[in-house]
Amino acid sequence: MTPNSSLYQRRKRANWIGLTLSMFAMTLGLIALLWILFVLFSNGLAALELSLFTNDTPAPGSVGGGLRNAIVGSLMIVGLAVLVSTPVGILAGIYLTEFGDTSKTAEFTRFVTDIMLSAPSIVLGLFVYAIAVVTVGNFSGYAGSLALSLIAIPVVMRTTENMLRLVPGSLREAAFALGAPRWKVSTMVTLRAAKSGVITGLLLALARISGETAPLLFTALNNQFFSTNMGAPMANLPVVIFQFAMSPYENWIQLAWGGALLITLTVLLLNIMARVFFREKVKA
Amino acid sequence: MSDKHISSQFDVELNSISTHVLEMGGLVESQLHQAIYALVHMSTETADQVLDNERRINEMELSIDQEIISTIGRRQPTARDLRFLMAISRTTQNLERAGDEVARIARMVKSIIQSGTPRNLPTSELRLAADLASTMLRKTLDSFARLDTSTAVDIIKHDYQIDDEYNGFLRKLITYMMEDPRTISPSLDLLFLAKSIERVGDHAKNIAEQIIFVVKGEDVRHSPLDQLESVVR
Amino acid sequence: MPNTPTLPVKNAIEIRNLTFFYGTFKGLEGVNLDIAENKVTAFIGPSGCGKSTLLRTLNRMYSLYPGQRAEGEINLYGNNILDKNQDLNLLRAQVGMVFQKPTPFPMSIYDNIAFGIRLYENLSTAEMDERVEWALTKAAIWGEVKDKLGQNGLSLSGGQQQRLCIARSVAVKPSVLLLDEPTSALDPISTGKVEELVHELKKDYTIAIVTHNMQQAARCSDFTAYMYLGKLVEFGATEQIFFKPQRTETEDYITGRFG
Repeated sequence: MTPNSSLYQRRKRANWIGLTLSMFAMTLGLIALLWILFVLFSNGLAALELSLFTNDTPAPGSVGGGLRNAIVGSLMIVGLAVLVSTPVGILAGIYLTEFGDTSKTAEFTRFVTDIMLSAPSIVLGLFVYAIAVVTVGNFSGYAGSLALSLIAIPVVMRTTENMLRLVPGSLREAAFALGAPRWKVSTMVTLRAAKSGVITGLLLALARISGETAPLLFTALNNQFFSTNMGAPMANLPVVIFQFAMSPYENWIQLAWGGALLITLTVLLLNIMARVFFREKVKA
Repeated sequence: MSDKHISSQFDVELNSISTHVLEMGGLVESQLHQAIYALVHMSTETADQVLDNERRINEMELSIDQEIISTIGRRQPTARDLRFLMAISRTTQNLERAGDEVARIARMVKSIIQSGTPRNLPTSELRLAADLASTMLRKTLDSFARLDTSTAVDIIKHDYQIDDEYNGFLRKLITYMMEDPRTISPSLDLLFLAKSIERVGDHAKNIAEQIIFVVKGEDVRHSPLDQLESVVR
Repeated sequence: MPNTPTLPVKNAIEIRNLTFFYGTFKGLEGVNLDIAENKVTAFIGPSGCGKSTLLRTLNRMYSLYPGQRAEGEINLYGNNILDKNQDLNLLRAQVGMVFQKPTPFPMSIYDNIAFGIRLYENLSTAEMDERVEWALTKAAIWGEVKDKLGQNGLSLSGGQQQRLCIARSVAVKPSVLLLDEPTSALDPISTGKVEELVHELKKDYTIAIVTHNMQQAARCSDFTAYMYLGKLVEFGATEQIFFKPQRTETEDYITGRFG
C-alpha cells in the first residue's frame, strides 16, 4: 500500500478527527473539574485557619466561630459506620465468592446489593428515620452511622467480591492441596492475596460516605454545640454546610466554604492513598 | 518404515539413511560379483578394479554413521525408530567388514596368479560357496528393505550351510596340499580366500539378525536357532 | 487389566475401575492402575486424554467443584479415598500436589513453608525453623533463600518459585506427591533442576507426574502410563514402553507418528 492512496488518506483523516474530538471532550471535563476546584479553593481557603478547628459552630448572628463540633461529629459518625461496614462487607464478600458462589442465596444477595448500590441515599435516610428515629423518639448519631453503613456495606461487599474473584483459582487449589480447610484458604490465602484491592475498596467507600448529606438530614440532624453523645443529635459537616451555605450570615457562608473544602481535601487524599497503595502492591 | 511421522523432516532423514545403506549394500554386492569373476577367470584386471573401489565402501560407512549420530542427537528416537537406527549402524559396520573380506578375496586371487596358478588348484570348488554367499548378501539386503523377518531366519540358516561348505573345502585343500608340497603357498592363499567367503556369509547373517531386532525388539545375536525361530513366529 | 506388570514392588495406590464425570461427559473410563511406592509413575498422552483428570482424582481435588464426580475405587494403602466419609483435608495432607503454574502464597518464604505445617502440627519455633530448613533443603533451594526467608515468596524467579512450591508440599511430609506438569512453565535449566529433584525425592516419596513432554517421562519415571480419550491404553516399566511398547497406539504416540 503506497502512502499516497486515497484509502490511506481517508484513514488518516478519520484518525485525526477521532483524536481531536476525544481531546476536546477531555479538555471540557478537565476544565469543569478545575473550575470546581478553583472556586472551592478561592472561597474556602480563607476559612482555613486554626479557629476552624478550635471553635464550635456559631449561633445565628454571632461573629467568628469554627467547625470543631461538626468535624468531631463527622469523624465519629463516619468512624462508627466504617467500623460496622468493614467486617460486614468483607465477610459478605468472602461468602459470595468462596462459599455461596452460584447458590440461590448468593444470587439473591447480589441482586439486593445491586439495588442498594443504586438506591438514592435520601431513601435510605428516610428508611433509617422510620426505624431508628421515630421508634426511639429522637435523632441520634447512631442513626446517622446506621444510614451511612447501609450505603457503605454494598460498596465494600462488591469490591471485596470483585477483588477476591481476581485471585487465580490455582492459588486456592494450592492451599487446598495442603489440606487447608475452606475458611483458612479464604482468609489466610485468598483474602491476603486480594488485600490491597480490598483496602482500596474500603478507602473508596469511606470517601463516598464522608460527603453524604441526605441521610444525615433525617438521622443525625445537627447540633449547634459540641457533643460526643451519639445517642443524641450530632453536628456533622455535610448538614452544617447545607444549613450555612444558604443563610444570610457572612461568617456562616465563609464556614460553609471552609467545610466544603475540608471534605473535598479529605476525599482527594483518600483517593490518592487508594491509588498509591494499590499500585504499590501490584508492582510487588 | 511404513507410517509417517508428524515431522516429515524426520521421515526424510530416515529415508535418506535407508537409501544410503542400501546403496552401500549394492556396492558390496557388486564388489563380490567382481571378486568371484576374478576368482573363476583368474583375472588380475578385475581383481584390481575391486581393490580400487574398496575405498568408496569405507567412505560410505563413515558418512552413514555421521547421519545416524546427527539424527539420534536431534530426534531422540524411541522404540522402533531407535531400534532401526541401532540396526542400521550395526549393518553398515557389517557391510564395511564384508567389503574388507571381498577386497581380501581380490588380493588372494592376485597372489595366486602371481605364484603361477598351479594346475588342479580346486578354485572352482569354491564357486558354490561364493555364489551362496552372494545370494545371502542380496537376500539380506532385500529383506532389510522390506523388514521381512521370515526371510531373515532363512538367511541365518543358510549361513550354517556356508560353514559346512567351508569345512568341506578345508579338508579337500589339505588333501591337495599333502599330494604336492610345492602347492602349499597358493593353497594357503586359497584357504584365506575361502575363509573370506565364509566371513561374508557371517556378515550377511549378522545383518539378518538386525532385521529381527528392528521388527521384534529382541536382540538375537548369539542366540541358538530354535530360540530365534520362536521369536520370529 | 492392560499390561500391569507383576513386579515385586509394593503399591502405594491401587486404582480399580475408575470412571470420572464432568457433568455428563466421561473424562475417564474404567481405569485400572497401580502406583508403586517410592517410584515415579508418569502419565503421558495427547491433550484431553485424561491424564490431569486422573492425577486430580488421587487427592480428590475435583471435589472442590460441583458437577465433577468419580466412581470406582482408589485405594491409598488399602483405604478407599472415594468413600464419601473420607476426610478430604486429611487426605490432601497425605497426598500433596504441585501445580503447573508456580503459586507461592502472598507471604514470606518462611511462612509459605510453615503454612501447611501449622495446619496439622504444633511445633515450637525451633522445631519449625528446623523443618522449614529441611524442606527447603530437600527442594534444593535452601542455599538460595536462606538469607531471605522473610522476603515475599513472589520475589523469587519462576524456577525458584516452583521449587518453593515443591518444598511447601514436601514440608508436611506426605506419603505421595502429585506433580501436574511441574516444569511446563520453566526454562530448561530450572526444568533440569526440578527433574534432578524428582530423582532425589523418590527415595522417600511416591511420585506421580503428568507431563506432555515425552522425553521428560522417559528421563524421570520408572513406570509410564499412556492414556488416550480417557482410557488407559498401556502401562509398564518406562524402559519397556520406550524401547518396545506392546500397543501400536503407544508406539505411534511416542515416536511422533500420532495424528
